[in-house]
Amino acid sequence: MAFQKARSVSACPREKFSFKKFFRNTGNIFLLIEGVLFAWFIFSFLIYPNLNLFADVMFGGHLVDNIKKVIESDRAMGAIKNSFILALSMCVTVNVVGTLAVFITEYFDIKGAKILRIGYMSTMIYGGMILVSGFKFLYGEVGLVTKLLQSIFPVLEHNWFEGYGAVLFIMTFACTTNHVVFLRNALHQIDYQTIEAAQNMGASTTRTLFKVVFPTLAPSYLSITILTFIKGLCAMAAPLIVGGESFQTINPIVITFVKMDYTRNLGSVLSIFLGLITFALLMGLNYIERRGHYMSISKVKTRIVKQKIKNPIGNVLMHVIGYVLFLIYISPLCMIVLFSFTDTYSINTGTLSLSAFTLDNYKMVFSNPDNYGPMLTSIFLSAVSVTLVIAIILFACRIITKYKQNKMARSLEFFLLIPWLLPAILISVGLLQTYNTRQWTVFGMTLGGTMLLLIIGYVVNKIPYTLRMTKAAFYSIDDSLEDAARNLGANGMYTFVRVLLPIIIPTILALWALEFNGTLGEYDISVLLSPTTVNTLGVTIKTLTTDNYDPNSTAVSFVYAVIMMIVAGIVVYFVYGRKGVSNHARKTKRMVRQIEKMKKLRAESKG
Amino acid sequence: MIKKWKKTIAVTLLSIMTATMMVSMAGCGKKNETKDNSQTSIDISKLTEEEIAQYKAQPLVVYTNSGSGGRADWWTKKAKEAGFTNITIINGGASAMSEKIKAERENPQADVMCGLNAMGWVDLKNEGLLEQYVPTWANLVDAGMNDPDGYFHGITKEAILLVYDKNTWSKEEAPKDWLDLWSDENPQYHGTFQCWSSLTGGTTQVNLTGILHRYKSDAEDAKYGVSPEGWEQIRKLYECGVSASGDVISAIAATTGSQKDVHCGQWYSSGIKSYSETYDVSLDYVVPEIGVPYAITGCGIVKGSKNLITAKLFVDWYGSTDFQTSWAQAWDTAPANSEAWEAGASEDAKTYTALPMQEIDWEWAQSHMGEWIEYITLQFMK
Repeated sequence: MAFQKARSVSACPREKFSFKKFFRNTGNIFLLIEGVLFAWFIFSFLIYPNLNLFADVMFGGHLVDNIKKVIESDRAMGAIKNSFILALSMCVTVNVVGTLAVFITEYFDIKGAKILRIGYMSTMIYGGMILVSGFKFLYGEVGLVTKLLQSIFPVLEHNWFEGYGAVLFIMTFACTTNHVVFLRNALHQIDYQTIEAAQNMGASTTRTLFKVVFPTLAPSYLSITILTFIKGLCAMAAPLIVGGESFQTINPIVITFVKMDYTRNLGSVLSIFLGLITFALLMGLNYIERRGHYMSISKVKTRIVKQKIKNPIGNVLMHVIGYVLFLIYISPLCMIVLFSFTDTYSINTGTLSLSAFTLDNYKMVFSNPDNYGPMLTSIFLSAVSVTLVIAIILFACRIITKYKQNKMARSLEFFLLIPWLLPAILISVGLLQTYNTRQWTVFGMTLGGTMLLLIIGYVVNKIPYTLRMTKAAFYSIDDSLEDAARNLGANGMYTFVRVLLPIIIPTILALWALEFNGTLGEYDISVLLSPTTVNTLGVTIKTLTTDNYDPNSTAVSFVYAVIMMIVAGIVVYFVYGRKGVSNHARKTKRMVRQIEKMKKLRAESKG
Repeated sequence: MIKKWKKTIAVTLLSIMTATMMVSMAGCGKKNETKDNSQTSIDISKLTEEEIAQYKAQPLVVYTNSGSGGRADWWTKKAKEAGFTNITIINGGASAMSEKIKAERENPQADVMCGLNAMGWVDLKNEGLLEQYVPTWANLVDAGMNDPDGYFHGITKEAILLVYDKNTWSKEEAPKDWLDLWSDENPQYHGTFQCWSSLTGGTTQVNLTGILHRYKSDAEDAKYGVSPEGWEQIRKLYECGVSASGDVISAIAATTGSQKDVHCGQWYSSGIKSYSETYDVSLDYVVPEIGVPYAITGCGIVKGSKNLITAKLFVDWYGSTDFQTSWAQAWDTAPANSEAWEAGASEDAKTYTALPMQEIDWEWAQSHMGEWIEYITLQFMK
């Protein structure tokens, strides 16, 4: 398709450029304005604030020294190696578990799929340290599962859940969110007729999967795999807590270094090194995407119908796998909720007893309005910044996918991925240093100490991930739809709003929910960029929980974790609950019913 | 088609950029106007009460890392009662707050900083981010806790101690110093103490300094200001230590798992009571011959403060005997202000902060801390 388009462009006779003609086309004017705005945004907030840092790293004269320091350190080299091992293994395990999770709830006909899905979606509402603590309560040295296993196999060591295997296990279950959200959406985009056709030709369940379904999902798999790789490379909480001496990764070292003045340069070098690998991977992915012709999805879509597994053994096996996965997903969450009602002693020693149950932590948080005021602030700030970043990225993706052969459009994408090179702390320091005085890039204003800078900080940090996922959604759109709309006389904006947007809206909404949840308790950016009058949730939690003088602070952090899970859960419900995407599902059901009816009629007429 | 708009975009972009640049140049010109410096020349001691009240009511922003656990609220209330009606206290981690002050260098948002430790203060002072001001209570603070040049002054003191489980060792059996833990003569201590898995914490940095300071050296074979013998100690520390997660007290309390082997580690004096109650352990502490390293929090005025007089009045009030006494009573601290220490500190706090203090050159520690952390993180840590 793209190839054809390019040829038709070059086939046009070359006319001399004329301003009159150029501006007569309103589409061109829009494009021009968009281009200028993007150029300004990218330069002002992605490049300019980090110029000093980049220059310092590259030309500060320490580059060679720093690289030498890293190479000479066995610990750093080991950590880098471990990071890559983890990232690569995750590409396999996360894809396997993620695929199982999606296909069990969406493709196969499994009893109780709805409940299973809620379990699989649990990682949408919590992550990081809290999630790892949840796993530790179960599998850690004094965890429930460990105790249970030890009563069966007394030889089992206390620290059996430590090192590579443990980190991989936690990371695998923590990182299937992208599958549950995006792969699921892509699966629903598949034309069911292709599956039916395969089956009519006598293909088995497995054969249909591997010959029809998976190839159609390839673009989603590609994006998700790359994101998984990046997540593995930048793993933080899991290796720190369960990695033990044998399996430490590089990101905790990077963050330690970046936080200190003296070592910041070395930290940046490591960070940029990791970022460049990410970059290279993404560029490779882009290349494959541009060349790919595999998005041939039919124009007339029939919604997918859940498949019964014909093989009885396979069917039972799939059910068992489904429920085991459910238990693995849901139990850490339950542990967090349970332990939020206990005291710090129980949390840190991992012991549960009835006498330790208390409501004091909840009382402490809710008795002071200063503790939940920041919650509202953060809900507002997250909503605004996430909406903003999605709006920006929608426009960007439109340009990137529409003019995929154009060098400027391609470089737009390249520039928008800059925040992936640096950790959030560095980006925030750059923004604060730059915009705390009048800056010509923002027309002589001072942004430091305003809410706007904080929002910009949030937005900038979210750009790469949003771009990657939105772009994948755009690629799943059938080009011919847009052509059809244009042939019917719709202009660019109209086509975008009425034809393209409705197709990708499930992805966009899911993305909104995911990023909203991720921003709610954010600390690194908030603490640096918050205006003096604004108190965000992340900073409040840190204030309440890093108190050296109050041993109960750990328990309070669990209360906050539960509160955030509830807020996040509500957001997810709005997206996936009755009013959100399920409208989609209802329509699908209706369509499916009609198809079944037609099938019956056909069968009857044949009979 | 595409080529056409490419050209135009380039042209327009360029012209817009130049235009904005010109506009903002004009804007920047304004910035260099002389600041209102009238406040610097005012002598506070000559102000009338009415004037003082007026100045106190001016807006004041205080950055701190000692506001956690409800202390910031309590403190705000007290400050408002004292007349600072327009005060805002911003609380965050020590490194985040000092990072914020550095990044806001050109347009300071904070007037006063409270908290940090000696190294954090030396850092801000060296960066030229502090305003010189000797508060009225400066002479009440023990020698060595104030900056000799008058940029920052001590507020609280705290001993960083080697604590151990009384049930494991009697006073005679217990180690006498940090170095005993990993020395070859005392294999009984190997594997009984927690070694640092992160060096970013303030307590850890003070303790690390306490150990390395004994090996301070300018000799040729010294690395980062520390003799090879000192680095050998750090190597052994990691060789013999247990890298258990979580805090030391919960590790001492643990009866199962790998943490059950941890019997001692570093802890700060004011947390000993509350934590040993929470975890139901009985702790004792070691007083090395060389003394105990102290963590000293302080306060100082941020350079470029918009309300200098208000800031000075606030510092005078914050470190005063009255306020520090009630602070110590409410939050169990040991004030650096000797009158407040006498009047407000609890018996426990007095015991801990009367221990002999290890003499430490904080200027030296601050200048090398980054190197140490990098070196240890890359070479010794496990």
